[in-house]
Amino acid sequence: MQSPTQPTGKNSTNLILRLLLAVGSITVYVLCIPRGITWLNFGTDGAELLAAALSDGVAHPSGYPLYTWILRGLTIFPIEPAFTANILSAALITASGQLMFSYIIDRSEPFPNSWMSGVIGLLSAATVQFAPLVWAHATVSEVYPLHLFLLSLLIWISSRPVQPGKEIYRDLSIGLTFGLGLANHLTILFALPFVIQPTRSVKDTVAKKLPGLSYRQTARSVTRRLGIALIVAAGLYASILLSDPYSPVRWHDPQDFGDLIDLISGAIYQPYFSASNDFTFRRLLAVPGWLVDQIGAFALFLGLWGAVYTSKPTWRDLSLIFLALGSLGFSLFYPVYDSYVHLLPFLFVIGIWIGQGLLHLIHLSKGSKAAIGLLVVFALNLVYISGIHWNQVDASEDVKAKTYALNVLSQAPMNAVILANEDRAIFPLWYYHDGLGERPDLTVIAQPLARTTWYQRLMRRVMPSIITPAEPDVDFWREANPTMTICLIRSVEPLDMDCGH
Amino acid sequence: MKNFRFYIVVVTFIALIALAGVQSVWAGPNFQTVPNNPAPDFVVGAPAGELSNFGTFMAGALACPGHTYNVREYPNIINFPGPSYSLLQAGVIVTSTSENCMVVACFPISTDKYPAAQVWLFDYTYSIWTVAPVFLGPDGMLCGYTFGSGTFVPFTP
Repeated sequence: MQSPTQPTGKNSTNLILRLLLAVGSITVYVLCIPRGITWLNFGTDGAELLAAALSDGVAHPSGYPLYTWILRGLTIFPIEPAFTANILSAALITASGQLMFSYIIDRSEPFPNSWMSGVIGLLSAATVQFAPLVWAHATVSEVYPLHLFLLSLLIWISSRPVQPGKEIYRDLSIGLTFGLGLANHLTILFALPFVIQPTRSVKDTVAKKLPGLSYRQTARSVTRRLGIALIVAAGLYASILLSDPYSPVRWHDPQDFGDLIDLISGAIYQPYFSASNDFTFRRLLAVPGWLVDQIGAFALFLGLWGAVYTSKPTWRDLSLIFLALGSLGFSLFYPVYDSYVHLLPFLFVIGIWIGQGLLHLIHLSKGSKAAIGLLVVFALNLVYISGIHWNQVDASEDVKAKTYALNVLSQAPMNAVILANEDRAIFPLWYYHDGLGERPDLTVIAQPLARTTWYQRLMRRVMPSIITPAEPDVDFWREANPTMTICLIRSVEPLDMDCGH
Repeated sequence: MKNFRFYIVVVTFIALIALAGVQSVWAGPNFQTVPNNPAPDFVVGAPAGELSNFGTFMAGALACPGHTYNVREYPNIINFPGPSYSLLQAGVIVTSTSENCMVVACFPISTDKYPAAQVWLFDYTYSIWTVAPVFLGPDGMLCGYTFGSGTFVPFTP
């Protein structure tokens, strides 16, 4: 009988394990996916991103041009766009899990290509994929699944060995992936060390008797990657200027590069950073509890073991540490309550460390009984963690956002102007009204944005008959527009809409 | 070296597990994608005893000569575990440069009409929602206060 740690010769066992991971995760995700827009699972912004894509408009800062272009592409399917976008998220997180599986298999040095390394890759990737933060994002329309996928792809590509003469292809792949990543979410900058890594490590050069590369060649290679990335990212961000100027969902109403910079830099959110950050230390204290909740205590131990015992002073491992600490630091300091969504890359790196830690422990244990015991405990940890979080992330029956929007659109009087003043109130209306074209006689206004000069400029162009008052109160809107029915959404749940009757 | 690594793992793990039971709240302001106040911040100096007008409600700092504080209007508070979400109409975040300063937020709620009116407070020092101590402010406004920083939300049962 073949030893579990011996190479299998063929990769058929690991292929089966890989398929098991992919089919299992996508099945669970689809079972938890809402059939339309949702407020659950950090999904409130999904309706806004979809509305921007469907109306050929501009999403909230930083504009997310790659994601909105992909959403536009998905409209070829004859299914509700929100459902298609939710499935895309499930597919992207599943693909990220596959890349983590590959990364762990590729680095399973004690017993490469054995079924043991395959099982460890499967369990490690599944532990991250079923951490509630990751799982939740696999069920909603958001930019973070694409962010995680591009990040995993970048890490995987940059970890692949490169043959002499083939450097240009890897540079192209790295540059393209990083550029696409920048055009999706700017925090991929924490993965910059993977982009500027030397073309070939000294170890590869010596061990494989490959010719070494000069500093000049490495500098040229890195410049090529960064150049491609900048061209791709700049091109996608510039494409925002081609969006429909008459879309009502058009953040910052970008008409020139100055507006575009305001959009990309998130000028509208910069006041947030002046808020007190006296919560940072408490967030730091909350991280251990959060991690135990996400992956379980045993997986946390394995991750620690992997980080301490298997990390080496190589560019690749230091890049992983930089990515983990960068994401953690950003989450701690970013003054938004749900900043922990930026811990997704942190979790991904921990997943890699979990796999490496388990590989190392099993290598140390030598005896197969101890190894099997570790795997069983790890598998039980995964089952327990995913089991207790299923109800928390299951949004399959959720129709609250849809019900709210359809109720507003069905109850609003003919030609009414609807004022909405918070994310949950505005975005579903944008999706159904401006994205899908329901009740075209109505006008939906994001009341808080009406104080900005760019939104006033957009309103004058898109809805010229409506006069924006100097004061935000609904009475001033009615006074300024006496011939119109002005409705204010006072409450979303339960719906309370005041149309002045 | 091997033992050193082993001790690092074990000690760190024990410390993490111990901390896991101590603090579980991810603190911070509940800002939204559509900011209520995209205009520049309302940062004002607050001489002792002064309450600054701010839209439909008032906020300010007391007994802290020379320090600055930061007020941000906030139309709806998400993740609010207190009274029914639907009853919340407005709120205000008041952050202070000193933890010893009293900050207040006053809302135009008639205590004759709503004798059980409350002001709820997210206290950043302890990361908890609680009912704030209140007093009657100018023009009969209902004022909640805390020392340091907080998010104030009016509630009329």
